[in-house]
Amino acid sequence: MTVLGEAVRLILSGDSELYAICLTSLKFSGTSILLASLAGIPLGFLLKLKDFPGRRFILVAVNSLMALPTVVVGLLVYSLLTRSGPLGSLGLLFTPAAVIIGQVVLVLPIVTSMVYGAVSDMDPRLPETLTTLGARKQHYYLMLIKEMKGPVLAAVLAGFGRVIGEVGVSMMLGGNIRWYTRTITTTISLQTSKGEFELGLALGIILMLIAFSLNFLIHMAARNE
Amino acid sequence: MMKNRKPAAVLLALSVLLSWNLSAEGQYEKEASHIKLATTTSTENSGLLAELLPVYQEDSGIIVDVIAVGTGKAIALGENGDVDVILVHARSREDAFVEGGYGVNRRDVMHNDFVLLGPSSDPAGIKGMNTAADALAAVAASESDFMSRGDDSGTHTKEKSLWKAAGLSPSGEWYKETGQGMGAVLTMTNEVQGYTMTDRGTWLAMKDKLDLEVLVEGDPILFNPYGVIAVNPELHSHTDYEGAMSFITFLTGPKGQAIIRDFKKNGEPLFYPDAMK
Amino acid sequence: MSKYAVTVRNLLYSYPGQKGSGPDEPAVNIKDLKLEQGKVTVFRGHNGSGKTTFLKILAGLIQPDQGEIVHTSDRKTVLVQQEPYLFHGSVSQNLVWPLKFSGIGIKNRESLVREKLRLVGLEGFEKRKARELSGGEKKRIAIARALMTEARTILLDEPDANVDSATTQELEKLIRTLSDQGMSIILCSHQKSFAYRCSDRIIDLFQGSPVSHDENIFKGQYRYSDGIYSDFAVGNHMIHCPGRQGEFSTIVIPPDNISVSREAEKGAIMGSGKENRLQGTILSVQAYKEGRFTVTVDCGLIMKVRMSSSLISMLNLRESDTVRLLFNPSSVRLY
Repeated sequence: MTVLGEAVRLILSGDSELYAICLTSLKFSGTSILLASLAGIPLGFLLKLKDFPGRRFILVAVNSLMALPTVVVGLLVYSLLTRSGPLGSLGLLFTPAAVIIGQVVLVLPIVTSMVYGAVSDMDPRLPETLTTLGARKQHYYLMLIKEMKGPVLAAVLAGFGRVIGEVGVSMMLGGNIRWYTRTITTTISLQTSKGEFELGLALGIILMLIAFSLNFLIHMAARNE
Repeated sequence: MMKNRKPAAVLLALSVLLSWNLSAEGQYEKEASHIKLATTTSTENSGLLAELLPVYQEDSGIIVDVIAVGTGKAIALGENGDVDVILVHARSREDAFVEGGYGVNRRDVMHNDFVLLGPSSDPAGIKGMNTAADALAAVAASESDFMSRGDDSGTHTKEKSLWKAAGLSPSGEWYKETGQGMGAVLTMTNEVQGYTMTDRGTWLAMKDKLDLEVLVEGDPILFNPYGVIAVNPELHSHTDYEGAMSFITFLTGPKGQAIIRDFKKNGEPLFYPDAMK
Repeated sequence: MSKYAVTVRNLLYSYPGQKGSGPDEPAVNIKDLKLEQGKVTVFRGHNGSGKTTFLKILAGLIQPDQGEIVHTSDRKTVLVQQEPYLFHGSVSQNLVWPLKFSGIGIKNRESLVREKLRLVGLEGFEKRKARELSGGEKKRIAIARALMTEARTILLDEPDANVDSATTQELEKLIRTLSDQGMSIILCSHQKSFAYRCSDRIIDLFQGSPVSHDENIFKGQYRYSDGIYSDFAVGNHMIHCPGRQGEFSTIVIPPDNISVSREAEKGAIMGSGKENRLQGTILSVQAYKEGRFTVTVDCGLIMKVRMSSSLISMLNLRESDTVRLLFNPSSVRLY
């Protein structure tokens, strides 16, 4: 049987470990992107709309951090979380929390930068309309985010794509522990290193399916708007 | 219409949070006690741990979280106190680890051996040689492709010691430092029909998929001993020393050693127990 | 309470980047301007004359470099953009947002929305997707949305731009209706007929400053008669005007085309029986420009007449004098 055929058979067999691995991946990525969005979306808006000390520095930092390879992010967070590091006493290394911290560090610059870009390209009539209709503070920002749902969603999606597909951070900080921190990508990496391509490919197909269906759902949601 | 749209994002967020309570068969048991074991990818990949750990868990109630990395990194994780126990194969570095005060109670666990692989056409003509160093010298002389792990792993350390024994420091286009795991290196070697050195366990696990042959084996220098070491609790007080010691005791005790002895791939043993000699 | 919706004093604004460089040419430069409450004031001018900028300053969207803008009440102004931005979602969602912004819990939102939609002639549009409407519908929804705010002064930026003639007529009617309900409306436009038909007062903007033409603009009833001349009723006054078929709501009498005579010199008034004749008292005589003066006469209608200084001294015109005005029906413009 071909590698691809075997991969499809694996997916269809409903293997419980395969299911657990996918669930772990979704949990980690979902939580990471949720946290990164909660911070990154407001930050992206603030960076464009408000002038505050350190704003330029944050902009430069955000844009530079976007280029960091995942392994470097993994290393950076590892050096903080290792028992010999400053946050070692928390005992977070090789736990889901460590993976999520690393993924948030990885993806926060992407979400922030994309939201910042979207706000920069914002329709200039929108803030005028809000001001003249009397929208203040929280209403004003709420409406900006609401009206820019499309580009903001695109930023979140791009971020999700980055975290669900990354392997450096998950491997380095999660340790690829079976049933615990083993994700789709670390499994692919492990299987490939073992020379067993079937499971790796099966997971690769699932990864693509997840990305595809998510993009499709968002596209439909945007059309119904 | 207005009312039900608003919580869409909230709903999504909630579902992410709720997913943490979803259970899959064989779920990680948070309530049970865990120890962290750093080991080499070759050990993990051989499938031996999958035999050992469920029995140990049954006996002790302790779950072993396996972090499979290269020997170099496994030792570094031990030095930093990120794991409780390490199971590696690089004797000289293990000794340095213990001497440096990072580990205590090193015990021999088992050994397997390395073999030199190559294509059946064998352009370097090393088949049947008794000395691994001579064989490598012949590969270098013929400038046939040689795939090295190049990743500071135990296997890589062993390979470098063989080159040293042959009095060579390999370089040139034929010598390829891949920086990849054993399985990946075997696959690459197969694709280029070159030579490489591998542990027997990985070879046996993968040989059905490979168009390669064992050309040199049995040289004592290819002997590959595995040691288990507890991370020094005096250096890293948070480590689970008792858990580590219970695992070491199991691994080197009759039950663990029997499992190691009986573990076979295609009818051939992969490891030979050493602890009770 | 003042009878002015907005009072502007010493207003100066230059675009960022042009400030301080070269000879100062501010985008908006207004010394003193009072805009009546409950009236429709139209600012007219070419592109770049500062119309939109001025509206944005009035709306508080642009901070002027200097000057003072006094709104009559703290219920400020609301601006409707030339191409309005409508929020994503339904028409009724768009209309409800201003209520939420102001934080006032209003129970009968639905009926309020229905009322405003009826006012702009878009009944039953509640569930429609706002962003899929036509350009003219969008404008009217934006006006309805503006009316949901507390503002009593509404600013319209070129409402007549890029809409078909039917929509233009709808907008004219709407603006007059709002004015009748006591709203102050300030708009800008560069379409002559639209400006005349909507407005109570026209102010031309030239390089950011107002230029007054003292035009006589009257609303009333047009009565077409099948001849050279027809009649236009302004209150009790009947003005003869050119006979043209169509619907007209406004006449404009250019102040330069009116001749003035002393009451005593009856014999001097000659001409056909269809000449427009009015009699009234001079309220003021004010210098206009280039040696010409504006004479304001109360004939029941307030008429402005422009004449040379030499003619004024010849006739010896002073305040409270009684004069007769005469102008040809063909000089009356219909809109």
